[in-house]
Amino acid sequence: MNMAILKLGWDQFCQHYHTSDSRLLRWTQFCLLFFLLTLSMTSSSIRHYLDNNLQQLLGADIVISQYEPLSIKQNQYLKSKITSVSLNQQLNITLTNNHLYQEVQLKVVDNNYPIQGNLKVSDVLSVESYATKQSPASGEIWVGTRLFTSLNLKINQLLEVGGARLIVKKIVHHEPDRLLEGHSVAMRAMINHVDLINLKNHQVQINDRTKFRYLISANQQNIKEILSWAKETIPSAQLVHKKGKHPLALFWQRVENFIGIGSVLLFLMATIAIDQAGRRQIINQKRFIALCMSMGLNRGGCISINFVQWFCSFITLLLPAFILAYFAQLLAVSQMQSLFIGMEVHWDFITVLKTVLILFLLLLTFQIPQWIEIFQVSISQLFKPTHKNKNVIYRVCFSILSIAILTVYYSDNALLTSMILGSLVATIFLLMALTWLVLTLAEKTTQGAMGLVPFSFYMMKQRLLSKTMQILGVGLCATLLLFTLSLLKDFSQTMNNYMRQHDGNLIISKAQKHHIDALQIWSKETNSKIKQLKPFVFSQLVKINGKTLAQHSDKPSDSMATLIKPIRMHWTDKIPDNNSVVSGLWWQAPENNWHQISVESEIMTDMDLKLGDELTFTIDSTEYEFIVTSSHEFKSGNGSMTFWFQVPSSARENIIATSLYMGSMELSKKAWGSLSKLWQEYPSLRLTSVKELADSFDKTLGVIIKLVSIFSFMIILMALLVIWACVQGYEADEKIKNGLLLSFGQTKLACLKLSIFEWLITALIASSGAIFGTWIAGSLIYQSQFALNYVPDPIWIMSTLFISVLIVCLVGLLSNKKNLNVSIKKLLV
Amino acid sequence: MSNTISLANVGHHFKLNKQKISLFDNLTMKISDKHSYTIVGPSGVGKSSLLLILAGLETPTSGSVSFECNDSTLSNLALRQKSGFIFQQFHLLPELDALNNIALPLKLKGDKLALDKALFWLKQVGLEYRSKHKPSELSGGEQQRVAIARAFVTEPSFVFADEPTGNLDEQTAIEITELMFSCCKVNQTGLVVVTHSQELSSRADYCYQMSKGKVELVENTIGSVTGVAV
Repeated sequence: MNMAILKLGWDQFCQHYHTSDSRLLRWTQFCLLFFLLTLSMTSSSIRHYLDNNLQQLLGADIVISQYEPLSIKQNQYLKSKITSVSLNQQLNITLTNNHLYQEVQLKVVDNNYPIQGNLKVSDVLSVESYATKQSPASGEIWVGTRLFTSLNLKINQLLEVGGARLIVKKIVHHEPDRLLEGHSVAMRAMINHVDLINLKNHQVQINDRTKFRYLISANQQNIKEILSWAKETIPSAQLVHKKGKHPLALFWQRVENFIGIGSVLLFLMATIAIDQAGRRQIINQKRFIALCMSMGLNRGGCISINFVQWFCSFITLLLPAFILAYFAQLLAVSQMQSLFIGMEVHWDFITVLKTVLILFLLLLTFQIPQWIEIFQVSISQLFKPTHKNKNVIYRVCFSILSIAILTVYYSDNALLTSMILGSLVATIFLLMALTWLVLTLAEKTTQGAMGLVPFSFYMMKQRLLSKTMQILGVGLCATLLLFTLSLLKDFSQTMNNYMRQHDGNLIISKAQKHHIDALQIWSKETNSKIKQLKPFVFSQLVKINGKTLAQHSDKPSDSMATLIKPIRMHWTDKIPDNNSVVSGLWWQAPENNWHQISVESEIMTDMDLKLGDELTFTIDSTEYEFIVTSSHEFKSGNGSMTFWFQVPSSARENIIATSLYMGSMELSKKAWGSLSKLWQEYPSLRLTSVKELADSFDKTLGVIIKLVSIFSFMIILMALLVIWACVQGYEADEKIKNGLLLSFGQTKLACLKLSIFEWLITALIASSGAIFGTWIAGSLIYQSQFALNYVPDPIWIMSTLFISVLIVCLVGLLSNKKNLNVSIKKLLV
Repeated sequence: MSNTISLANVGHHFKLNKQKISLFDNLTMKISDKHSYTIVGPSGVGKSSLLLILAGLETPTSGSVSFECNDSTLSNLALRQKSGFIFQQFHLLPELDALNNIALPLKLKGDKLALDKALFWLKQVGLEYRSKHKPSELSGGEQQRVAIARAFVTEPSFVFADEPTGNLDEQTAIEITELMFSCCKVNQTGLVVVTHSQELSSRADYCYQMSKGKVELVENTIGSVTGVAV
């Protein structure tokens, strides 16, 4: 490429810089660059934070976590390989202080704790903490800062915990292995393992879903051997080590991919905007190229000039997009610090480069049809212009290719991706069909009538293709926005839905038999009611068809993240009232073959299971095999308590484990005040008010609302660009049309009425398509991804429809203002 | 029925970069729907402005313009509804075929016989076999024929044409000129044409020569005009 070409390309870029088409294209590309850069840079900061925390705050060289203690043989093996070990146990209890109560994650430590790093503690809440290598002595309880405040505790105060009396000795500010325990905002307390034995009522025993964490120090060689040994011998254990991934990494990767899929939709809207805006540009470019060719330039040179012009446009956007994305990243990180405490901004050049390259590739792919068109230009077109546009098929194919590249880059969940894209494709087809149907029918029906309305339908029908593109662009924007706002609204109302379905105001999340007996007595005393009770055992899925979970699938998924921990397994002979069978056959009682299991349908899809698969569960240190004979799904209307795994009642007789119960209660007003008395007696009884759940939910929801709001803002911005492009692309045609109408004796008011009517029809069709698209997306995605039932609210939908029609009309008219302000004079020489 | 457009002491100027540019002053003339008129002159002299004033699309800076139908005064809007326009660049709608381009003004008025009338006029201009063709499929001359048919389909009292043969070759220009004038004669329509073409201007009943602010009647077979140079 010689200097002349470069200079010419640069000149073309400068000359077109201030044209409205060029401005529109730049804005669209800028929005995409900004969005993807912000996403990548924020993601990079979070990943760096996670890696950094893993490296520096491990508290051990390797941590083995599981819900059973190691056997004697396993302990012996470990001791032969390690330099030191500390055993922590974690369990959930409820602490009370007078009338105050709080659910707490209790950490039970031995005298070796901490084996690496220091605890940071203080003796008074308001003073600075100091480091210590000591752990709580027998008879002491150390509490976290939030728990100290929540229960209104005092240092040296005596606290009754399941019959044992412990002294509140210190306030814990930092534990070296805190983050490795997993993401939790629960309040915390720490006691010595000696006091665990002394706790009354035996609730805090091994089978009470206690988590056992072995913090190990070892040399590099032994770490590798221990890791291999653990994968073989204790497949259900979680392993965290300095070379591995942070537990939160999976969570963030899923969020990033979800937002990435959203960017696919933004990109789709951008392609419509670029396509519309490019209509006029391509005519000018072709004329320029034809002129250059008539002056002796070859085709390759012509494409090079156009490429340089396009490249200059892309490059000049990079710096401003990067600067703005950097500040956006600062804002995002500050917002996320409530979830990732201590997170800071981290600069990663490779990530930025990768993002820029992928977007460059996408926009380049989308530009190819235009270059094909330019390549076909000939000098004869200067004498005899051709108006046929044979390149529609190229534009569609390359647009799909661009979107496919982006989808592949970000997709990690085939189910979610196919749901989103499937909804989108359905919406596109519906919009096209609706447009064609409405305009054709309306034109036919009003053919013989007089006035502006029939004329308007007639003209819209004549411009069917351009009108369809316009409606498609606006409709997709409206669909995305409506779905996002709908999800936000329903997410916020989730607890109300939960309360309506839940049948009670108190959840029994875990209780043993004697707890139930006590609850029954207590509920009679307090005039409360136990609404439902379902038994379960904690079981951990360890193998699928003989392979460990990691061997079965290495893709991150929410189901996988849950299945690496013990989950509840229920037994029943009858299909529960709130379930329905999706595939396979439910067993009939009495069932001799107790090795059958029914799996929740979404888990089947997410974990790629099918009927006939063999699942191996560990229940109380014993392995049990089951064959998948059916799958079930949740059916609303009969309580919300449902289980991922259900087995026949005959299986329970063959499983050696302690039965636990979950259910719901309706408490009378006076009953709430006596809950603390119940907990003092039974501290491991897990009861949660629906309101408490809502409160803990609100914090996470707050962050999600912010994220969704930002995403909605991007959609609105893109929608405005699409409308602007749709108007811009047909500006010249509109001006001629309006000028002609004036020459036929129509008034400017008539032209305005025509324009209003056209935008009204556009907005109505687009909004109707959006409602349908949202309904499809909601029906598909809500239950599977967010465990919400999609119940569209007709009033909300109609109000949103009305507002969106109004806004689209207004924006369309405002954009069209120049075209309305025309006179016949403009048509003259 | 008799329609006239009268200009009384009309003058027109505009400002460009704070400089006043006068086109003409104290112009008095009368245009009747019974005759044809051409306005000739070099580029930039104000021919189109005069055309616009006559068509009621621009207000002169001084003087008055009135439109009368059987001695009743009409508004600008009423005059436009009785007028047709022919443009140098044709300005046919690209998405409509020839027939529908012609039918457009009638459809706008809700005329149920729009397509029949359009077909009649398509035959008048000799293009009935091209009714389904879009403007991109027609030559320049054919497009201008369609534009002429469109201008006459509403049976206007006046047709205003701005350089109608400006984009056409000589032979086609002659044909178009012939077509325009014959349509006007047959339909008793007043024709006002702005043109550079001496050939075209010689066909009209009246020819007004504009040059350096002067408007002079070059040929006068009926009536009179007074025009003053600035």
